Amino acid sequence: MTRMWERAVNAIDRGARLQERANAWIAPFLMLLLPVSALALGLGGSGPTRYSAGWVEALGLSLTVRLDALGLVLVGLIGLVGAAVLAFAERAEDAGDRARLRVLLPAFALAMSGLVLADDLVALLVFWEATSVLSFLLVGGTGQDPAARRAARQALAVTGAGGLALLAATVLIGLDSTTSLSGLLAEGQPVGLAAGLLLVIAAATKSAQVPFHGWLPGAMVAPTSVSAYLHSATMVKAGVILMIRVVPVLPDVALAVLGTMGVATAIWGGVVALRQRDLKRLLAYSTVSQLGVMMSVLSVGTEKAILAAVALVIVHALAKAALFLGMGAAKAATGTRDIVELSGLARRHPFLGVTFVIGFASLAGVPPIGGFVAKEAGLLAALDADVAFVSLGIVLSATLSMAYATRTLRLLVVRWGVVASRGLGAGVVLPPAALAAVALALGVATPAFDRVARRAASSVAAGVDAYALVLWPGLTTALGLSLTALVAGAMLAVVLPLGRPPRREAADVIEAILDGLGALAARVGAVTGAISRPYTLGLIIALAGTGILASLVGSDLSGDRPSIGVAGAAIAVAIAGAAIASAAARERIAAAMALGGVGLAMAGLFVLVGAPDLALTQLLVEFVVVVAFVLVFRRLPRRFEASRGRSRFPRAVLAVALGTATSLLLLAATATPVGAPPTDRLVAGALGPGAGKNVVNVILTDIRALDTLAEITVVAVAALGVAALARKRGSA
Amino acid sequence: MVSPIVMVVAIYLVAAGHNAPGGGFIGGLVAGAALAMRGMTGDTPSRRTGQALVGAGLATAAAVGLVPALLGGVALDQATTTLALPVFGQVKAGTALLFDLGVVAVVAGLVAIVLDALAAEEVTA
Repeated sequence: MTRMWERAVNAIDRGARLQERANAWIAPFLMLLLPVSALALGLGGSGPTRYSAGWVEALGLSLTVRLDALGLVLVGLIGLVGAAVLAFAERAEDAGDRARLRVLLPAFALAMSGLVLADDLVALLVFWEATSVLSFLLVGGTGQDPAARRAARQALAVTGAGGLALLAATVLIGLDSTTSLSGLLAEGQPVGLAAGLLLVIAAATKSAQVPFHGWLPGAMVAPTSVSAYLHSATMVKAGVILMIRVVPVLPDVALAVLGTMGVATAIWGGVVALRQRDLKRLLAYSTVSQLGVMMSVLSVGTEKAILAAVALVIVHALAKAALFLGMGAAKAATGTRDIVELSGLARRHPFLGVTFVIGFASLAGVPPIGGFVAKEAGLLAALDADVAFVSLGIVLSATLSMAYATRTLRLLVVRWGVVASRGLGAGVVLPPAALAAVALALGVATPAFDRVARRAASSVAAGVDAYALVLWPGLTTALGLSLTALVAGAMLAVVLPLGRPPRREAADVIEAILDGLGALAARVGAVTGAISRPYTLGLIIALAGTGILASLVGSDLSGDRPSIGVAGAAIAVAIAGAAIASAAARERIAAAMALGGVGLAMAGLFVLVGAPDLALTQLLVEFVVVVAFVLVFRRLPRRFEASRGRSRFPRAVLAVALGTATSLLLLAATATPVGAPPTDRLVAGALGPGAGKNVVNVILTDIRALDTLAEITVVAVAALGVAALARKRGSA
Repeated sequence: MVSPIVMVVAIYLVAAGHNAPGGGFIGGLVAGAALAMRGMTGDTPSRRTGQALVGAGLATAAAVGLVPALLGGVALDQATTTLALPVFGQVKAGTALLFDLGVVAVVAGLVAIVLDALAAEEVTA
């Protein structure tokens, strides 16, 4: 028996291990379906395909996606990077993180795919917010680590604010013309200034532009896979992608703001990256800088600039994801992320070394890697349009990129350090290497890169076919500037000593603002909570009474009312007596009983006037309330505390006033019939379509079922609230 | 001993509700009282049951409402059919009854949770 049991347990264990191994393959494989299907659609389809599902037709809202070339290329990118990241995550992340990542990363890929395919600003907004929420969940992790909670809160606050800006922009644009992106481009009219600026702000928060960039380096507390996927390769590109989609219809002022912000971000990100010793934070600031480059290139606004931005998005996603995963692998092998401590890593892990070389060379724009081709195109676009400050920004950021790339590579690859490390499995090393290989291929096989990027850009800019991405542009100003940047950057790396990372970071400012808001909320809560409960209750009663009286001014109270007869009069006396008894009672339980008596007598009145339903309900509610009272009173003193005279008097006044007001309200309500009573119509409806003789119940479950659904939702929420409160009490 | 009888009353109230006084809210109140009673006398925790009821009830009502919409009709529409059951004779059954059952469950769950919470508070204090 025991042996059989053991064998069964072993079999289950084996099954679980087998499943674990299968998972490691299934998730990345499924993710690979994205680029494959995108490719198939891109090759097979002729022109973009639209799918539209009605949403709120009364408001003209629909969820529209459009499979255009830009969307398909980006979906392919999302799937390709996603597959590599998932494959890496299955082998390198903690077992606890893996299960969560296996669910959340594909969910994120779905949201991100929706975002790049959306052809409607409303649909885009929905996916946009979905990525924010998933980012929050992924950064926050289990919620146990305070640093992770802090970073997740910051990211959500900043990107959430951007989401609000996008919502406002969507509303403004929808009022003006259409929220359809292709419709906007077809009209060709620039959107309003306010809407344009709001769009730029939304993009700036998501894509970490100065001064909204603080959350991105903070988000680096997340596991490697999350940082690689969301905070370098895909999600932070959402702002850039939004700008690519709308840049032809942005007003000039918004473009100028975008350009200024982009240039500032490109330079500032590079400067701070140069001061980092933590490889992950260095990469994060490098991402900030590169996003700035993309934004500043886009601000040029020409078709050439759009092509360059698309190329930059593609190549940066590949190279940066490769670097992040490589960093994660290095951390797994050595236990450190400090670039000085990682000296000589490439000797022990040549594959990793090659990955780092390709990745950093792509960032710095060294030929013949894809990054060079894209950056060159951006520089050409800026020079052609004579936007000097954007050209300068690109060159300066390229110089800084070359500087931190050279410094890192010198330590990791060139120096013969002796970092202690353990061996790495192929599953950890191959995913980053594969991505780096693609980034390299984009440069070496520039014509292919050119075709993909140009087709993607043509979704937004029709005339883009006049330009091309090239590896060898000839001896142009752009090439000269690029080479100067490379040489200057390399020299900067040699000359400049490794500084200290800045003590105060932008994240601290965000945190201070959030803390301030929290403190303000606590103050408001303290002030309102400190007022004693009788006063708060009294205030509510006084306001209600005043409101009722105010609404009654000038109304006619006389009217023809049916008599309730002798029995009715007797019940009315009973109600009044019970009410007085309740007010006069010295013991709590007696007061509750008397109050129950009021309810019972009322039920009798209902029966008398022909509302058995109401009577039944009244009766049952009364019983349950009395039971609740009894349960509560077991915890309270038996008798009411002797109240002081001066506090009793105002209460009595309030009570009498509210009672009078309510009575007057009822008199007024029964005095003037507004129209024919709806009873006949309702009864007919109940017996006909509703098919029931209990009219009240048919109204509840059929005719006004939506109201009932809403009501029970409220009831359910109340139940949850009670359960939560009771649990808190119980545990305290 | 009492709570099964109360339960039967609750079921009668719900079933009768279509044509006679009764219905989901009332039935729910009675059923909730029955649950709470069981919770107070025995050691069956009624709070968990209550929470499950609230969730299941809301889901049932929403699902009953959504099905016609998915079938291409108007949301919250109802269908009726007449069944011949052995004991009850000719019974008209509509999807409104299912909806009402959702209401019953939510209300019963709420009552059970509240009464249980009040009773439990007294114990822990």
